[in-house]
Amino acid sequence: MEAMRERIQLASDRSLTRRPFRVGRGRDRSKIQPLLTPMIDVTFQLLLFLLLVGTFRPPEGQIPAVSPQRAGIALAQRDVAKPIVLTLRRTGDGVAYEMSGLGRRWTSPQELYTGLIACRESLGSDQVAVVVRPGQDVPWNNVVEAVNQAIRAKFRNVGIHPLSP
Amino acid sequence: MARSFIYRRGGRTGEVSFNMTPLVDCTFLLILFFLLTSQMASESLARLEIARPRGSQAVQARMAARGVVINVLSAQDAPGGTAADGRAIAYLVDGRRIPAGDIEALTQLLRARASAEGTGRNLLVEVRADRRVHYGHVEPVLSAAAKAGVPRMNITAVAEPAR
Repeated sequence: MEAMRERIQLASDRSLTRRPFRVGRGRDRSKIQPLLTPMIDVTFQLLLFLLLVGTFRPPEGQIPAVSPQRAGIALAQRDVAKPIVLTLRRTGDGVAYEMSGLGRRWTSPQELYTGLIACRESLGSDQVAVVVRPGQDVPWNNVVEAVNQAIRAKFRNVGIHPLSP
Repeated sequence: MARSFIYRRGGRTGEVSFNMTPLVDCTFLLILFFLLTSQMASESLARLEIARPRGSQAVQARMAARGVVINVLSAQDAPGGTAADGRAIAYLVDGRRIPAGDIEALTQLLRARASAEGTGRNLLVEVRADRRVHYGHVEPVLSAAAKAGVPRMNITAVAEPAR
């Protein structure tokens, strides 16, 4: 009876013992398994690191343009007709887009786009060069906006004018 | 029958444990997602505010096809910079920082790159300027590229997401 009690005690002690790295699971003692806890710890640390460090950047792209080279503008002038010169001026609260020859003035990119579309349709050609001529104090964002709207209006030859001709 | 979230282990009674396998699976999937989708910091691309035109016509290009990227950094991001400051503080080309206004150094660098390509006509220059910098401070960069014999250049802008 005493021996039986000792055997039961020993069995329950064994069941409480934890082996550090390899644990026999269930009744099948030959099955071994790595301890998952440190692996999960490291994985969560990695996940947190990536979440905190990663910054989401807007997708970038390129708009093609001609460099401010006098030769390029002269070539454009020789091509089909006089180029459309789009002058950008700084106003009190923003930037105004003016088209030479037509005496038209726009203040928003959408208006500029509509005006350029009308201009291209009246000219009947997309080969006419568009030269963007910004003032010295015009933010680069507006220069890109003007070039973008000209390309959006399906003009093929869009360039930027130098400050000193 | 598969055991669910909490199950009894082995033949013992009273011992319960979480099933870690789906949790680890999800975590690994999340890590893989972040590793694949995040853009690693590049030496040639400085952190600046890119122009965001309406109805952007910008086309996304592969990094290898970008050529020489000229970053024009705004003085607003420099210590003591104010919101009204439209100056450029420096140009960053291939990880090399050139102080704004040193157009000679920039032209020489572009000429060297153009001669490495054979001629300036083969060199692709990408102007990646901060949207807040005034044209008066970006124009010297464009002129430097023209002086180096580069006739065409690309302007960096935020591209609209593909539909």
